[in-house]
Order: sequence, then structure tokens, then C-alpha cells
Amino acid sequence: MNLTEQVQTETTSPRRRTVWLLVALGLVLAFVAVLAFGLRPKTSTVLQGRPAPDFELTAFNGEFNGQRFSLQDMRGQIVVLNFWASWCVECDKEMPLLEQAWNDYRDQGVWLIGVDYLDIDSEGLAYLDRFGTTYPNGPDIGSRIFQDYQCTGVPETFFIDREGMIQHVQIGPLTQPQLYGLLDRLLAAETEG
Amino acid sequence: MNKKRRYFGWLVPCIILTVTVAASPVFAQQPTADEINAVAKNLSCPTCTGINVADCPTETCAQWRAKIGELLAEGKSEQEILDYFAARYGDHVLQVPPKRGFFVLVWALPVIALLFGLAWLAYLMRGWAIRRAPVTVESVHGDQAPRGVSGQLSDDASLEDGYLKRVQQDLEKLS
Amino acid sequence: MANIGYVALLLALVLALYATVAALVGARRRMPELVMSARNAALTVTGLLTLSVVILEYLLILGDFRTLYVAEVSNRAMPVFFKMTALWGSQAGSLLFWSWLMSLFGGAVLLRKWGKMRTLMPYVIAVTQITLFFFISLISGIWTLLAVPLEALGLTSGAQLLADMVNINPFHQLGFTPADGNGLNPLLRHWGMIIHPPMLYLGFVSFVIPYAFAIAALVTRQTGDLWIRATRRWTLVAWLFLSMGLLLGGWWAYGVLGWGGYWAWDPVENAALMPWLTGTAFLHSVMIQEKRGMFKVWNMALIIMTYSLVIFGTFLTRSGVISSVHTFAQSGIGPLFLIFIGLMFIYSVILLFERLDSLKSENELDSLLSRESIFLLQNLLFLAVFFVTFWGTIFPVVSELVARQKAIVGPPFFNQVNGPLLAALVVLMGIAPLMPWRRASVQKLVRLLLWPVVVGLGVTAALFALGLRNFAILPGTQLRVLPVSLFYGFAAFTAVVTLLEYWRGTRARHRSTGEGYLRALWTLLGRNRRRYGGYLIHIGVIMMALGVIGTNFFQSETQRNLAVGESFTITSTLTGDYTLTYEGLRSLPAPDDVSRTGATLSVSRNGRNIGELHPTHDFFIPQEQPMTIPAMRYSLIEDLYVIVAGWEDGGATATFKAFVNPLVNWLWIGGFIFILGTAVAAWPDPAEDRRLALASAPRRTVPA
Repeated sequence: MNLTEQVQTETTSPRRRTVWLLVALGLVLAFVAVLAFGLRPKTSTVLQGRPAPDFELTAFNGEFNGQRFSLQDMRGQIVVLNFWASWCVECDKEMPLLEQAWNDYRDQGVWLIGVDYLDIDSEGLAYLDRFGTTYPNGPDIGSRIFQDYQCTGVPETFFIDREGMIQHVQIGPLTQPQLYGLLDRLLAAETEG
Repeated sequence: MNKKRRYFGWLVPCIILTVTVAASPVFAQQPTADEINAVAKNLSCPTCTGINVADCPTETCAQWRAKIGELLAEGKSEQEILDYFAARYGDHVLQVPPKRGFFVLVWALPVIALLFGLAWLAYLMRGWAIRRAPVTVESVHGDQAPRGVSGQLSDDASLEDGYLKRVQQDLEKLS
Repeated sequence: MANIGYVALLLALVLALYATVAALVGARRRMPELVMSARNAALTVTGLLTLSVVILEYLLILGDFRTLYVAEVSNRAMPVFFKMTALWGSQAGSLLFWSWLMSLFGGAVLLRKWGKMRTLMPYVIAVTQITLFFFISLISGIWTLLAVPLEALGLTSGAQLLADMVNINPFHQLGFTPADGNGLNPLLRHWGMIIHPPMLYLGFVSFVIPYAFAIAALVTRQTGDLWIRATRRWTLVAWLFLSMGLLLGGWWAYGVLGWGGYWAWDPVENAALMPWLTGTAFLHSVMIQEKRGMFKVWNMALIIMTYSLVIFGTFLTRSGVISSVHTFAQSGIGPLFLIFIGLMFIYSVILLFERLDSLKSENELDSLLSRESIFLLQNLLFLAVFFVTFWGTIFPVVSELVARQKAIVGPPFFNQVNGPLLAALVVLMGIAPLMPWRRASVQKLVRLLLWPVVVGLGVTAALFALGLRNFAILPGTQLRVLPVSLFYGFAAFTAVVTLLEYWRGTRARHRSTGEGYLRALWTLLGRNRRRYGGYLIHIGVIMMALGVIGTNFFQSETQRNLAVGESFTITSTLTGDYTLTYEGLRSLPAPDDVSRTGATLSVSRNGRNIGELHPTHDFFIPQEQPMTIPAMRYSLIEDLYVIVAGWEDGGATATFKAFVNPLVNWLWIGGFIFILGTAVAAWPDPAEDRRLALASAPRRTVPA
């Protein structure tokens, strides 16, 4: 921006001027690029059909307390990744459903993993107790998983198949038919393949 | 020698006692809302925009304030608490990015830009000063008419006189 | 009815495009009739947009909920006044309103300047009308036509974005008539918020005039100061509105948002501040061009930046590009805006570089001790503040793009970095009026600076001695090195300089005419509006600085949970202790869609009862949105500001937050004087116009 002042004082040298023009245009283009990036769709649905980002999570509840989970280790199994928080009112609706699904599908090679987003651990654990949740849940340290999955909020649920591909992204609470339908579809796809 | 050792003998239990007593929850004071807010001001509400945790009315922030109170009661310092939140929830819960890695640029770039601007200004002015030098010498000798500039400028060329002249001109026009 | 409005909008769109093309072709081919036709088309666009606005107002007042926009922003319960102001309550209406205001300015400048600046006019028409074309196109729904070809190309998401733009047509009709509308966002139901957007928009759109003239001057190579003199008053008016918009925004935030402050450095506020900063730099540096024929390139660059920032600011507030948490409704507006901004930037920059030869300086700097060099330094500082604000605003996006790390840049950053720069500007503001053009002699300067410096240091020492011992933190460190009283010293210094300027002028008049002092002051103001209006602005700024320093360094704040009958104390840095006693909570009468609860607190200062405060909590039922309305006790020394943050058991206990904001009212008083000064400076003055015209006549570039 101060660039132009320079040229004024010098007797105009065309080469210098071109350099400054290019610098100015470069800055403008960089600025536009930043804005374009800012405008990208900020929603996790863009991940649908794409490989799921790896994650690492240490469970903090019940029988899994202290156990480390990573997507890498669960390759070959179906993973349902659910983001929730104790301050999230909408999450109340699906927590019992998820626990029920865990009990129904656990033996068929389905992992249900809860990611506690932006929560105080004690509050999160009390919340899990309230719904009698037993599947592994853990805190999202540094909000890394939330960011990697480009979540927009809670609740959000990702259905990951055995190849580690995200087959479905659910923004907002799940309903029972939807949850069971999706799980059945994922299981069926595997037996065919 | 002996005496000294005896003192040391007492010193250690004394220290242990003081530390345990001070650290025990009984003696830890429940922090006030103001103390909590002072820390919470440096965190931004993660689920809203442009509001810090102290001013934010949401449930999340209420939980966070309670957590800050807990940590304060444990005797943690403000910086330790902020570090805890940054590590636990990510750097973006801080009101200002931590000064490390890429984030240093937040602070560095404005400083660099300002220095660059100042250097440029100095460069420009030096250039002018050098080219002007002979004229400056001349002007010491006599009150020459400025080059290539309309006469109106000479009004302003000296301080108060310019004023008085202006005002007088106005008056002449009036009468 | 809505159809008529929509047709008017479409016609305006077509005519704006026609006016652009006709003006350009007419100018190139030297066909005056075509330019004349472009002018008439441009004026018709103003008329058509006026019609659209009137019709939308009519639909809003009528409560025609079949129109989507009306259903979105109004409901039956709203008073007529709010229904009318709902015109700028949401996206579609705001954009229409924005376009209409711009077309008014464009029309006005055509009518006023047509005869005088024939050669520039075609390009002025082209710049304003192409901008209008773009803005009208956003709300006209024509971009949805592109959705089908995009879909065919396989760009589904892009097609979807464009297809959704049908909803930002203010006259879009629903297939059914809803029983009632959603109502206006509760935050906007405050008169500060009602005049704030129009002021801001006026400030934004009126910068198109100097920009258009600058571009016209570049294209026609009439790069003398013709364009600057032609638009001087327009620029001041734009700046006046922008300043008012900013001030009102601050006042609204202070009175409504309930966090005890007035400026939060959030992206939307910064969006309005940035063009103001570069615009202020421009207003000062054009003076150098007028007087000395210097810095022509610089002034061009500044006005291009200012207008680009206006468009960028509109883009920021309309697209949600920065705020990462708020999910704005995704729409095609963002990408289209980006294309528009990109093209505008690139065109302006290339044009400027092409014309560098014709922008040669007529003079050079004579001395480092001159008003020119002070102005340069001042420009640099304003740009630095702008850069800090800009960088802090976009840093979260840059960080995510480059380092894949989310970050938030909050108020502490801006305060710490911009604070010292702004303080330096206050000092420069003090020195600049003393500096003569061209060259100052050191002895004279020392003589002139002596008293202001003595008073400044005196104030610093006195305040320090009186117990004002806070120290400001050196930015980026924990070092407390700057006594806060020094800032008041700066302000005092500048105040003395400025008042001395008035005094000298008045005394000179008094001596030579024998006029009374008051009368002499009055004529002085009237005869040289620009200069003394400018000084009035400077005095306003100093008063505002008092408030800013007061609230930044001496604010006290406390929060307590109380049972009925209990009390708490907040200590003011300036006056002593306030004790507030909680007397109870009750529900209060309110509009139908609001449930209002008010608390009663009795207040005493240093043990003496001084009355009651009633902070309230409004709950907007349809929107399920709470709002805490502060209660305040105003004085010139400080405000006591209380909000009720929450309560339990029907009000048996309640939580209060109290602030003492020292000197905050000087911010508003200073703001008023600031506006007054701008109005004085912008007021038409035929005598001064003539003088300016004469003064710059020899240097006027003769049109080719």
C-alpha cells in the first residue's frame, strides 16, 4: 500500500514499476485467496464419501476407562462416532438410542464411540451416568477430533464403514429408525462385499 | 555446627506441615466471582462469537466458570489455568493466541509492518532532504518566493504571521 | 403490489447495466447524446429503486406475510415504527436499502456536478452504476438462472448456492400466507440500532462518490486536484455519516448489550472502522495535495483502499466469512461478492499503475520539520492502526488456511497494539496545527510548544500526585512502564494547542477589528470553516480520549449473588464506594411478545442514599432470546452500570454484575462535538470555495 509512494519519487523505471505492480497484485490475490478460503462450506457433510480422518481418544467412562481408541486400530469394523456435550440439550434425545444400539449391535462388530466436546470432565461423566451410557466415551483433547471432522456443532454423528470411509454424516439428533437403518445398511454392504 | 543441624532438623517438618496445611482444602479459600471473572475474561466462549467467558450467559460458560473456581481453589495461578484450558480444548479458546509457532505472527507482523513503514518514510524523507539541500541553504539568505508554487503558500510559510495575514485579508474583504 | 416492486427492481437492474455501457461507449466514441442517455438511465434507476423501497415499506406496514421478507422480519405484535425500520432488519432488505441509498448519492452527484465536470461524468456514472448493478443483481434473483447450467456442468453445490439466492429477493412470494411473521431480532429493537445501520450505510455508500471521481480522473488523466475539490464535501459527508454510525453503534452496545463496554473489536465493528481509518488518512493527506500538489499517487491509493474497504466491510457483514462459529445461511452472495471485490481491486490497482506518470508530484518536501512531514507520519500511523485491525480481523482465517490451527484474536490484542498507536496520533494531532507548510524554524516551534508541553507535563504530574498511579502494560510484555496519567497529559497537551489556535485567531480578529471576543470567534469559525471545524473535531477527539482512557484503565467491576435485603459494594477509582442493596424482583408490563423482569436495587454512595436502579431482563418469547438491559446512573465523572445476570427461586436470590465506568460520558459528549465539527467543516461556504478555486487555478490540469 505504501508501495506506490516509492514510484512517485523515482524517475520512472519501467522494470521497477512492473515489480511493484506484481507485488501489489500478489497482495490483492493473496487477500482474495484468504477470503475464498473463509467462504468454503464449513460443514462436515463435505466429508461424506471420503476417508475418515484418524483420531485418538482415551475413554473415561465405565469398563473402558483409560483405554485408548484410534480409528486405525478399529479398521475392519464399523465405527459410529458421536459428538456430544453435557450442555447440549438436543443430545438428550439420542443418548438413550445410542446406548440401545450399542447393546443391540455390539456383537456384530460395531463400535460406538462418544466424543465429549468442549466439556468439563466431571459434568460429562455425570451426563453419561444420567443416561446409563456404557459404550466408550472420551474427552476431545484440544478439540482436535471435532476440527478434523469439520463439525459444525453437537450432536453430530459419523458412520464409518470397515474400509474407513465415511458413509453418512448426521447433523443434529438421530432417530431410532434412522440409526438402525444406517447400521443395517453398513452391515449388509459388508456381507455382500 | 551442631546447633545449625538441630535447626535444620526442625525446619523440614515445619515446611512439610505448612505446605500440607496450606494445600489442604480446609484452608483453600473459595474464590469469589470477581476472581473467577478475572481469569474467565481471558477465555472466549467457544460456542458463541465475540464474547468472553466472564460475560457469556450460556450453560457451557457457566460450567467453565465453575471449573475455573475449582482450579483457583486448588491454588492454580491464572496462567496455569489458561494453559490448562488451552491444552484441554484447543488454543482457540484463548482470547489472544499464545505466543508460539505460527501465532507469533499475530504480534510480529504489525510490528514488522510499522518498522517497514517508518523505514520507508525515513528513506523518502532522506531522499528529499538530500535533493533539497542547496535550496535550504539559499532560503537562509533570503525569503525567496517558493519554486513552482502559487503565491498563496507564502502566507502559511511562517507561523503566526500567516494567521494574522489571513485574518487581515478576510477583514479587508469585509470592509 | 409485490410484483410491481419486483418489476421495478428488474428494470433498475437492466437500466444500471445500460447506463454503465452507454456512459463508457459515449465517452469513448465522443457521443454526448449517449452519455446524456446514460445519465437519464442512472436517474431513472434512482427513481425505480425508490419505488421498490416504498413498496417494500408498504408491504411491511401492511403486514403482507405472503412476502417472505415481511414474514421473516416482522410480526403483528410489532409497533408500526419497528415494522418500518424492519426494512434494514435482514439481508434482502438491507441490500435493497443499501442500493437505494447509493443510487440517491449517485443521482445527487449527477444533478449537482453535471454542468461543471462533463469529461469526468461518464466515468462517474459507469462506476456508480456498475456497483449498483452488482448489488441489485444479488437481490433480483437473476443469479438463480445460472444454477441450471452449473448443474449441467456437474457443479452441484455451486448450483445449489445460486438456486438458494431466490430467497434473498425482498419481494419473493411464499406459496401460502402465514398467520403471522417471525418478528424482528430483539437486539435490533432499540432506537440506537434503528439509526445506526442507516448511518453506517450512508457512510459506506457515499464513499462511492470520491472513488468514482478518482477513477474518472485516472481514466481521463485529469489527475490534478480537480477530482479532490469536486468531492471534498462529499467525502466529508461520507466520513460524517460513517463516524456517526460508529458512535451510535458504540452507544447502542453500551446501552443494550450489557457487558459494560462499547467497543469489542469484533469483525463487524472492525469492518466499519477500517474504511473510517483510511478515510481519515485520506481527508488529511488531500490537504497536502491541495496546498502543495504532492502525494497524488498516495491519495489515489488511499481512496481506492477506502472504497475497497467499504465493499469489503459490506462483504464481511453479509457473508459470515470471518466468524467461524456462527453458521450463516450459506448463499451465493459470498462467492459473487468475492468475484466483485477481486475484479474491483485488480482493476483499480492496474489503472493506478498505468497512470503513474501523470501523477508526478509538483513539489517536493522542503523540510522534515513541516506540516507535510507530520501529515505523512500521521498517515503512516492511521494506516498502521488500520493494518493492525485488518490483520487481527482476518488472522483466524489466515491461521486456519496456513497453519491449520484455529485461533481467536480478541480485544486484548487490539487494545494492546492499537492503544499506543492511537496515543501517538493524539500527540501528532497536537503538533500538526503548529507546523507551517514547507518549513518550520526550530526556535519558533519550541516557543509555540512550550506552554502546551508545560501544561501536559503539569497535568501528568498533578494526576500522578493525586493518586492516579496505574501503569499501562507495554504491548506484548508484562512490563508496566507507562503511567496512565501520561495519557491524560497527552490529551491536555493537544487540548492546549488546539485551544491556543482558536485563541490566536480570535485575538487577531479582536485586535484588528475591535470585535468582541465571542463575535470574533464566531466570524473566525464562519470564515474558515474547514480549518476551525477541523479543530473542533480535534477537541471532540480529545474528549473522547478522556473517556477511552477512563474506561480502559480505571473501570471497576464486580459480580455478586445476593438474597433480598443483602448488599454489595463496588469501589470507584474516582469517587468512593457505591453500596447496592437488593430490594426484590418483579415482573413488569411489556409488549405482548416480551416477558420482562425487573430488579430493584437501592444505591448509596459513601453511606449516603442516592436512589434506586432497575436493571431488567427481557425474554423475547417467539425468538426464545433473553436480553439483559442495564440500569445506569450517569454523571460526568462516571457511570454506575448494573445488570441482573440471573436469579433463583423466583428472585429470592439474584446475581448482579456492576461496573463503574469513569469518564465514559465524555466519549459521547466528545462524539457530539466531533460530529458538530465535521458538520461545520462540511457546511457549504461559497467564499471558501471561491478562494480554493482561485488558489488552485494556476495548477489546474487543462482537460485534453
